[in-house]
Amino acid sequence: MKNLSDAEIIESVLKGNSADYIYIIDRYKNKAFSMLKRMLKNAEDAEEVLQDCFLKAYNNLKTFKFESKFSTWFYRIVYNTALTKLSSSKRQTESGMVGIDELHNIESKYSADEIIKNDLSENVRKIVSELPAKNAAVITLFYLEEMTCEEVSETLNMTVNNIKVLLHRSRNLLKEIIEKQNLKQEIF
Amino acid sequence: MIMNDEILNRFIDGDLSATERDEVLRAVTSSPEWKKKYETLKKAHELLIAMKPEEVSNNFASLVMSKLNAQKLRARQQKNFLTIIISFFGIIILSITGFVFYNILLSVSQATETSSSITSLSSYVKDLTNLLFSKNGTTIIGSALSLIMLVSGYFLFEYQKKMKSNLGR
Repeated sequence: MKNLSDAEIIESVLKGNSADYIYIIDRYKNKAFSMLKRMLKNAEDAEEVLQDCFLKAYNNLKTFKFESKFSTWFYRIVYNTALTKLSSSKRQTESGMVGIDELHNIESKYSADEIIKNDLSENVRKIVSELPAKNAAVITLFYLEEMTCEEVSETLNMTVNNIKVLLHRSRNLLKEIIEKQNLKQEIF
Repeated sequence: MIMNDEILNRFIDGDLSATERDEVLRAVTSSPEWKKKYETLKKAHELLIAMKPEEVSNNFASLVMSKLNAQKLRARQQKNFLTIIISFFGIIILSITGFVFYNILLSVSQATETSSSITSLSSYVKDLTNLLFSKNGTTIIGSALSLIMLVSGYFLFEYQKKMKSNLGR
């Protein structure tokens, strides 16, 4: 069963083998959790929202059209549920492409002292976990789920150009921090 | 073409034309500054590729499955509950319809006087239904029905509320 495609598992679930849904959960739980944790900045909230997403997906499985990929459909549910959670908890408000100031804040936060404390991959993990929700969603889908910019655009309902802007800004932020680290290493 | 971070990003993503790619390669090989920038951006790109997904708690999948099963059970219970309520009201409606038909048939049988035994049985049923549907009887039945409807409505509302809150969890 584990070698079956998403579509084959879904067909089996729709035929009445609801226990097969566990294979879908196992397949997506960690990547979707990473995306939610990065968006919501809280592991407990992320796990709770993820449970809700899997229930929503199961309840709406009949409406899934096999024309698109299941991953695109499922991550759209995850992304929209995360945005609803964010707006309801008023933890963070974003509109359009706002977020560049937040990126500057992250960059300045990663002062030389912070950089020297951790290794590079640890810094990357921390930086990604602090990115604004939309940047975090794009980075996760592009790198972790290995989606193309077009697929990310379809999933998040944004234009391909917006996706590229968010992706490049996040990557540039990381580049700036690596440059700082390199500079620090050259000095010491 | 003016070199900038955006061009380097597009180079890494493979979004440039062959001519533009050649220009970037020339700039990167000829300028130490652009070479350093390109290598740093590439490093950032590679670090992002190498990132591992974070893991949910061990019992996550079984927890979701148990929630799904509980949800299905609740839906089945709600369906059964609705079936009982609808059946109950169906029986009441059938009884009333039966009573009306009975009265019609009784008036027909009284008019023709075909069978005295049927009439005596009918008069017994008539007395009983008259008692049930007398002024006091209808008040009691009406009150009981209203009470049942109120109780059913309350339980139905509670079921819906519980189901919604469980889905929201």
